Amino acid sequence: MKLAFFGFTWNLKQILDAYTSEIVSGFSNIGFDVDIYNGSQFTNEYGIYGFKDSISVEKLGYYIRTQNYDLAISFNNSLIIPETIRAVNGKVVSV
Amino acid sequence: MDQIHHLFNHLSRDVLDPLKYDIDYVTMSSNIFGDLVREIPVIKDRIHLISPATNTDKNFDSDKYHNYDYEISWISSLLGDQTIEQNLYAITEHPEIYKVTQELIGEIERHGSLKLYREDPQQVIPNFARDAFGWTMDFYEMQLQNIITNRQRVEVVERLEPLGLSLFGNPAWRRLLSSNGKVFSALQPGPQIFDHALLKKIYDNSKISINLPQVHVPSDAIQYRVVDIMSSRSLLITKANKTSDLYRFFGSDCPVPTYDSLDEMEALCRHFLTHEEERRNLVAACNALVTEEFSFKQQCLSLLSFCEVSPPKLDTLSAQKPGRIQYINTDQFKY
Repeated sequence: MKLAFFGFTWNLKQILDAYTSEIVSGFSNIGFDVDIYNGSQFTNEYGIYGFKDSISVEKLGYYIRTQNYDLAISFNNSLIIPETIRAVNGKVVSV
Repeated sequence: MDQIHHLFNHLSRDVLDPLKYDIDYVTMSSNIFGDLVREIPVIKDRIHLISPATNTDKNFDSDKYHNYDYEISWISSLLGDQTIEQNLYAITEHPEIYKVTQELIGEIERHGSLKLYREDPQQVIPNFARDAFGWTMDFYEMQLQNIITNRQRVEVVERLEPLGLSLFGNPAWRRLLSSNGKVFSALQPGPQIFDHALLKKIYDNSKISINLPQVHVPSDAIQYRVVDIMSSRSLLITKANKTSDLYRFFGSDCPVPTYDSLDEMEALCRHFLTHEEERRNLVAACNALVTEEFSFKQQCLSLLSFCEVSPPKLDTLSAQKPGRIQYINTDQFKY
């Protein structure tokens, strides 16, 4: 089974914090393949607002659709937009 | 999510907008749960409250002669980035804005937020935050709350460093190394810790670990680190709050020692550093409360149930082959 993880990073290394990493590992340990999307790399203001002009929402939506995700988990509403919600096969939950 | 203004919104500045989609939402704070149901009544059938989680595997024995590396440990970030510093610098260029900012910081020190101030029709909040910096008033309030949180955190270091505090911080603490000797003494060198196992190792080697929530964090919420420490060899000392989720998740008689003021925090640290048996008994009582129910695995299974995905049978989980984890390259989505 396959899971899209819409996370975020508020550090220079651009890696998930200790707790969201554990949740990703938790899903992996249950047997899910996990793809991590770093929502912080898509925003254009204050790390949480907007969408970078250089990034195509259509390309993102198309890519997600082709991955056939069984579900998606977002943290802090990262990448929660109509295009991503529609593109996930299964349900989307935002923590 | 520890504060509603930390929520992403890719389409507008209204943080509530992304909560109006027909998906399920999960919060770890009863305050936020209540606030969202009030603000967006239709969300009530799609929102769930769960507790923070930890690794519940006990990686230590109960050896009472264990040698601790740290008397008191504190894993804490100094908040903000250059944004706060740059805008404080800009504020000093405008005496009238500087004066109002001082007033608003005082209000937050007294009440934790500008809620009462903003509801008072006699008070007029200037629009300078919006005009000068393009900030919403909510965002500006959060910046001011971060300033108060930072001041409290520095005070904690100054109080506890003489008791043997070891501070594990983010790089922002380095800004204080030249001006604050106690920060210099308490701060542990090395990179910021992103590995949960290392965080747990620090707690397991500390007699006491403290928790001081950020000013803007909903007052009832508990943080992941609270559950981490409660499941470790260390004694958690945290801020008092009779309606805290601590009691909702761990029972009304949860034995974690709490403080109302930094004076009390310091006194509790002094007490438990010299009353080892009492400290150890409380640690054992806290350990017993953090059952498998609070594990990351259980949290994942809860999230799966909200997604209506059937989890594998629990007794076969340990036999599952771990799935692949990969970061998706954002560059591929560029025009």
